Amino acid sequence: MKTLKSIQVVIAAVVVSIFFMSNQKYSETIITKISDSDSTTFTIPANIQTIIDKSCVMCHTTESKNFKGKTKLNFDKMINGSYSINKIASKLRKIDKVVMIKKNMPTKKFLKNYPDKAISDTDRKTLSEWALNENKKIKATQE
Amino acid sequence: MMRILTITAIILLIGFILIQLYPVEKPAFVENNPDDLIINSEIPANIKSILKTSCYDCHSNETIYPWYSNIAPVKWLVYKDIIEGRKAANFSNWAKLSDDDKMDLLYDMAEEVQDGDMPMAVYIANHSDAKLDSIQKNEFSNWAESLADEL
Ligand code: HEC
Repeated sequence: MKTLKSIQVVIAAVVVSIFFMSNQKYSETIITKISDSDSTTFTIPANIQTIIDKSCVMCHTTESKNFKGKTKLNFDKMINGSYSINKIASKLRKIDKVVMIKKNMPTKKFLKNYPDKAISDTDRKTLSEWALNENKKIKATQE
Repeated sequence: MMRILTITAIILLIGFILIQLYPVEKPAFVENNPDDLIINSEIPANIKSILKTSCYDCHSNETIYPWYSNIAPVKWLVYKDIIEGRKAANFSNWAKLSDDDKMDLLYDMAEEVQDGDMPMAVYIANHSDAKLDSIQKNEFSNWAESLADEL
């Protein structure tokens, strides 16, 4: 009985921590580029994380089944140091492009299948302003 | 029976001649491109050769048109792809691009070649030497990425 209880506790702890970890995935992440002498930071604040988790994560992380989507943009690689600083800057520029100018992300088909994951106009603006601002920050460190 | 065949053949022939008259603008061949990527950068020989044989027909002003590409209806499709290709990326205008635009294009190039999206399948079907094996794909993608990283 006692062992059963402790097993339950362990399982609960694991479930909670997995939940916590997955929720924390893109919060306040800092990247340091190892090959450069100067380190550049790149941040995804909680409000941006919420938008990405809702509308983009299904196609743009390492676990995504959307092969094309994740080769074009992989948020995991963006935060774990796999992308060079220039590549991060380029992808940030493109996020603004697809979210605000072309408005082709998330894809039409996705929005049809998952209407609850739609991105509001306010969120589009928030996401694009964040992307452009992070891009500017990176640029500033390179001058 | 013979007569029907002859008449059909004549109609087809007239149709074929008539569609040749339909005017479409041919994307121009320009020989001297001072802003060209290859002229303005130091590019390893293997990459230069990939660019020339697998990319330049659609992504530069130096398009080499095979004879059949100037005959309708094939030319409609070919000209359209070249116009779109040059619009997306024209290596003849490379030096005029900003560093940001160069960077965006180079990462695109690395991804599209690695994934086999470029060169287009229809182009490879007609230009077997444009096909890239996995070693060439890796070499090309690594070159494009590192050039973008250094900008
Ligand atoms: C249903 C899957 C899906 C969803 C959801 C999705 N994308 Fe995409 N995304 C793709 C695919 C597929 C591509 C590649 C398109 C192509 O090149 O043809 C892409 C391309 C992009 C690109 C272009 C990258 C480049 O280098 O050209 C950006 C930026 C992008 N997505 C951002 C986002 C953002 C931001 C969101 C959320 C607001 C999002 N995507 C949601 C599938 C998706």
